[in-house]
Amino acid sequence: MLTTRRKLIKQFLYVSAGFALVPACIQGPKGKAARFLKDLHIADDQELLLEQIVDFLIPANSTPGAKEMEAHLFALTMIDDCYKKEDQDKFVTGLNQFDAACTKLVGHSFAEASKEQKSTFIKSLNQSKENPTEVDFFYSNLKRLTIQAYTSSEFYLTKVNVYEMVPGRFHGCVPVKQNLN
Amino acid sequence: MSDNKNQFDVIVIGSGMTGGWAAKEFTEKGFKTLVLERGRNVEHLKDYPTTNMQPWEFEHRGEIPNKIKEANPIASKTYVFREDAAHFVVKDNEHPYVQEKPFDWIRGYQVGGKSLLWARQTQRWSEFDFEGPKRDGFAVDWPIRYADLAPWYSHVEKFVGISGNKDGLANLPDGEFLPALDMSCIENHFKGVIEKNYKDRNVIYARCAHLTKPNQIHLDQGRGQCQNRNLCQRGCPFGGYFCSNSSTLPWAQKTNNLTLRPHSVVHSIIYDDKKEKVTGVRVIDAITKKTYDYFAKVVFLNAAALNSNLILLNSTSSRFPNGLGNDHGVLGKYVAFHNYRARASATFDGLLESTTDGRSMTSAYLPRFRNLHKQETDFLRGYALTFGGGRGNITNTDGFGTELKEQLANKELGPWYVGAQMMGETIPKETNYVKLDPNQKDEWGMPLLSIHIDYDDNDDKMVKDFTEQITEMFTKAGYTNIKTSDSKQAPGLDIHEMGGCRMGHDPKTSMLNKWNQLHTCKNVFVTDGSSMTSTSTQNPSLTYMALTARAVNYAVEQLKKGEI
Repeated sequence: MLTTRRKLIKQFLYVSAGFALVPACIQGPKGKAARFLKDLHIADDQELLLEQIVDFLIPANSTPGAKEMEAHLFALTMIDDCYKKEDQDKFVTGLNQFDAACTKLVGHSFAEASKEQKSTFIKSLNQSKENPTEVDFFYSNLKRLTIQAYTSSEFYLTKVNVYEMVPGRFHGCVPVKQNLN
Repeated sequence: MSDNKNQFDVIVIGSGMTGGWAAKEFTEKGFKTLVLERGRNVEHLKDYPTTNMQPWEFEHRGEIPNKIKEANPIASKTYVFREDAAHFVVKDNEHPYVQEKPFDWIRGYQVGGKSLLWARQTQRWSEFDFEGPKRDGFAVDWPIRYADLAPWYSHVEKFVGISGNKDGLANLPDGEFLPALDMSCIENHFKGVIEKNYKDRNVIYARCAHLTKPNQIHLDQGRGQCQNRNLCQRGCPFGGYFCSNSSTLPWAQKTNNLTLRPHSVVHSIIYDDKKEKVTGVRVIDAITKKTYDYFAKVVFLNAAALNSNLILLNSTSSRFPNGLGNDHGVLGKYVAFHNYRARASATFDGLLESTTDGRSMTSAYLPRFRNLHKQETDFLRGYALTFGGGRGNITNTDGFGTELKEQLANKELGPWYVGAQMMGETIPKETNYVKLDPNQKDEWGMPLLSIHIDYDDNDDKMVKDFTEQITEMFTKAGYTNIKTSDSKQAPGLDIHEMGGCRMGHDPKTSMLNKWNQLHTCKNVFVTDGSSMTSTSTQNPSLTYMALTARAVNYAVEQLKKGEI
């Protein structure tokens, strides 16, 4: 129990320290993933591709998007720590095949494709279709984790859909409008 | 007291729900009390590392990494084994046990034990529950009745702080309540439908151990009003719910009569064959593995149901070669639990103009209605059920780009969803037992506990009846998409294991008398879940606490008279 708790606290310290330090001491996004991943092997250019995909999925406009929240790093953490080996492998295979699939459909890699071409390619991906490929699996999981990263981010939970840690009340029945922020 | 630093008036084994109560009651009455806890110390406020963490501060947003899950298949099954509270749950490989039949043994080895993690539901037992074994001819007759425990329920409730309504139900007696919170629209809807359609069924606000409006006695404990965070399992910075750490233990500490010794694995209770009584407790230091003996006039055993069985079984002497107080082989047998297997869910298309605001800490509760006054079904006893519901946000996650981003910002309320779960009484049987494994030992040299507990035909019939009845009740309520399921979860996951050291009138068929005192060794009291003769349907902690306070009161009288 004691050792586990120590480990846990260490883990928490590491996590918060990680959040605090990483943006300050590294120039550019490259190579961050390689530093914390345990099982996954993600090359720097693949990390960049992931960043481009999450940026496309939830872009910054007047407010920050998924890239600003480093949703791709969160996704990698989740896949590295919380996915089964077979699903990790499927995800990485899909990632490896992603650009080739994009090129096959629209003639360009994802980075080089126009916005319309990107849309055409992304629309073609769907995990729930009849014979999903590894690319479909990769995309569906990345999208789900991107949404999770965005909707559980400090920005989202303090500015968009406010999470009240201490509500201090419970009203069992209120008109619907009153509940909306 | 004595000069000997190992000498106390009382030793309490365990610091959880009941150990905390024994410590509070004895120290308040001036008795020097040693509390032994096998795990580490957890100090209120100081040792709640996650309590104020925001959702985004959890690396995996609450989820437990796969490698930890794989290493802890049992602990992973409990709902509290999440990133915010897993540090309060025993890891599988640290404390192994033997499963003769599948049993998910969920434990909390730390000061405060599982009281940090409990679901905080506090319904009293009724006369129907205590008379159950005698009326229906199973186990042995309870040596007490509701009237014996009622004043002690009150005593405990006043200090703990229980939120509830006076409902006036014979099958769920009222107690000393702080104000109830609202029931939600959907809970009131269900209540209306049920009470109109069934004259024998009631739906009430489930009583819970939360300070909805603290009294002076709660403020004196350093606790404050519950703030509806619903993050209780992390430990509460307000002391809004009851646990040993925020309440009974600091209270005991203030008397200066408490000595708390964490990291103390109890090896055995020491029986002196010449004095014909217990003289103390043998402890293995969890860290140094050295053995220490502590001495006292009285020992209270509150190690949690199955571990109290283990300690008694391991406490052998020439007088008691099969375990302390175990002349008849009853010790370790007639273990029972709660049948939580079946659930139901549905949606409701009505009440769309309304929703809830803030957070509730409890749900609605439908007390046992089956076989209440007489036997009516093809199974013995019955089940209570919890009922709850709410409205979630519907989020459209289709598409991508700014369109998706806008969708994610929308808060469109979905329909009401509802859920119910059975809490069934199980019948204690000789074949449901725990024993010491003859060969395997743990890191501290203690024999592993070998567990042989299973469901029976009565439980299966009850699952079937719940499933039929909840479907009928949901249908009458106009709910749709009704889904029922039988999780087939192993016993144990209810975390309500009870018995093995049961109370009873007859020393030949029971371990404890009506004061939770060992029939054959008068200065040992067992007042945790192991003492339960039967299980009823109610969440048991409140009853354990009341039994403990009552037993301490009796022990103090006996000590004063020089009887023990």
